Amino acid sequence: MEYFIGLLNNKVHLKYVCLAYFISFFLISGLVLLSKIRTKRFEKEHKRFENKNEGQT
Amino acid sequence: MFRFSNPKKFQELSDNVYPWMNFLAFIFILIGLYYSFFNSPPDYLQGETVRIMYIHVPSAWLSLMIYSSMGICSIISLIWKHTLADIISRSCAPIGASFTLVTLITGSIWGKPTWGTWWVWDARLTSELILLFIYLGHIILSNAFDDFRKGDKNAAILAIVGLINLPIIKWSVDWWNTLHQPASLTKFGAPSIDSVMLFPLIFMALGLTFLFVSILLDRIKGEIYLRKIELFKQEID
Amino acid sequence: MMNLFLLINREFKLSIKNFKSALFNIFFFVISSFIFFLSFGSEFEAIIEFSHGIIWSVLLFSLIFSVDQFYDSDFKDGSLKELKILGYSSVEIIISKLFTMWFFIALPIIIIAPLILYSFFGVYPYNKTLIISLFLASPSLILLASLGEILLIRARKNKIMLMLIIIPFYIPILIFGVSAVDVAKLGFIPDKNFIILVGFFMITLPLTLVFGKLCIDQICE
Repeated sequence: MEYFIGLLNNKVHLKYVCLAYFISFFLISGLVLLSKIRTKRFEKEHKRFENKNEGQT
Repeated sequence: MFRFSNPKKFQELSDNVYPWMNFLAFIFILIGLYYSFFNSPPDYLQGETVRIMYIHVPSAWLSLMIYSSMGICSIISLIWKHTLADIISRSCAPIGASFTLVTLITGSIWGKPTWGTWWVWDARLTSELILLFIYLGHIILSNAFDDFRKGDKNAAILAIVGLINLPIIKWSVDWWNTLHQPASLTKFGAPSIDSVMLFPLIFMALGLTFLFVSILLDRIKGEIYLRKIELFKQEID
Repeated sequence: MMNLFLLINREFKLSIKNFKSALFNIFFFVISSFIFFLSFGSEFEAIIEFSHGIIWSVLLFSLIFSVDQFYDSDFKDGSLKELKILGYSSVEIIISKLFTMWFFIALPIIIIAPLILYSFFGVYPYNKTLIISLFLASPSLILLASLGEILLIRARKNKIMLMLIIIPFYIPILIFGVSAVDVAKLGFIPDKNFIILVGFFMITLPLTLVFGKLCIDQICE
């Protein structure tokens, strides 16, 4: 815990550490979200095509 | 060896593994974050900024690991013509590019307090940037064709050429300019950093690797659906 | 071997017929290097410091911008497939194209570069090193550019794509080629750089032949 308080008290370095972690968090979570949305979209489209095909045959 | 190379079998396996990967990634990253913020001392030279290392170094490892797995998949796809290998290498590329971007950005943020500038043309930064370019080239090349199979094959060739050339590029850029500190973890036998700092590093690396696997499984699922859709479209035509 | 001569003959005839494009390439090289030099202002000491770098970078761009004519037109009018059907192997086709490319694109530039330098500084003191390094490096540059071009034959392409794919692989060659002159400036003989440049050629030649053959075989199926 004392290390964390030391980090909070360090005025110069705190903003760099926070910035680095925030940016990487946003980038990685953006990647996760985009992949999820992409997969969901294709899954839906696939279902639509499958239903269409069943209707035809 | 190729027991799970059938997309359907692979789908079953990945549906079973996916939640576990998410869980493991969550736990390991949580432990890693706890260690990196609460339980590791500041460096006596770099002060508190050393905490950036716990995200910077694992993502740098991952960016290289993802590229090499892409290269191995490309070799498999060229020799045995496995569709799944193509799918994996195509799904790897955006993830690898993002981790390379994370490495570059955190590195430049780390560089500001320690070196005094956001960017220097130092050997490691430059080779990481070139790695990003190779990833981008791979993504663009694999999407540049109307028929995705041609794109797969050409992108696989590009990945293998990159795999052969990457050590050369690294070496030449090293020769060109060196200012960076030596690798923080050269051998497991005698690491140059303290074990207190090694703990968060290893936990973050494992967590990010699990996260990579979970994203990869997700993207592979989407890619398989996409290919099925293409097949349907071809049937209709 | 006979096949190879026939193919090279064909490529030479084609290139002489399309001599305009080779001229355009030389013109591009001259104009852009002049503009590059002029942008330094009138400080000739500064220019002589960086002149080999300018020549190198302009050479890279003019190579990238001029390789596409060789494979593209052959693919579009179907003669690539025809050659395959006539029994020429893909490796022979690639080698003939490489040789012609080198002769019509790289060689004129290597000859003209010292003249451009002469127009600015009189006799450039490191002419020999610069020419040898260009001479040794240009085959591997052409090999890489043509590999990129083969990969992109059937793509919806633009110039930026080719650049993005090739440039990362140019970087080692650029570094060692440029530093050959730097080493010569320090008064040493840069034979180590020359050996490394030859080594790059040894690596890129099998890469381009193997993968180019894979691609062209696939195209002509």
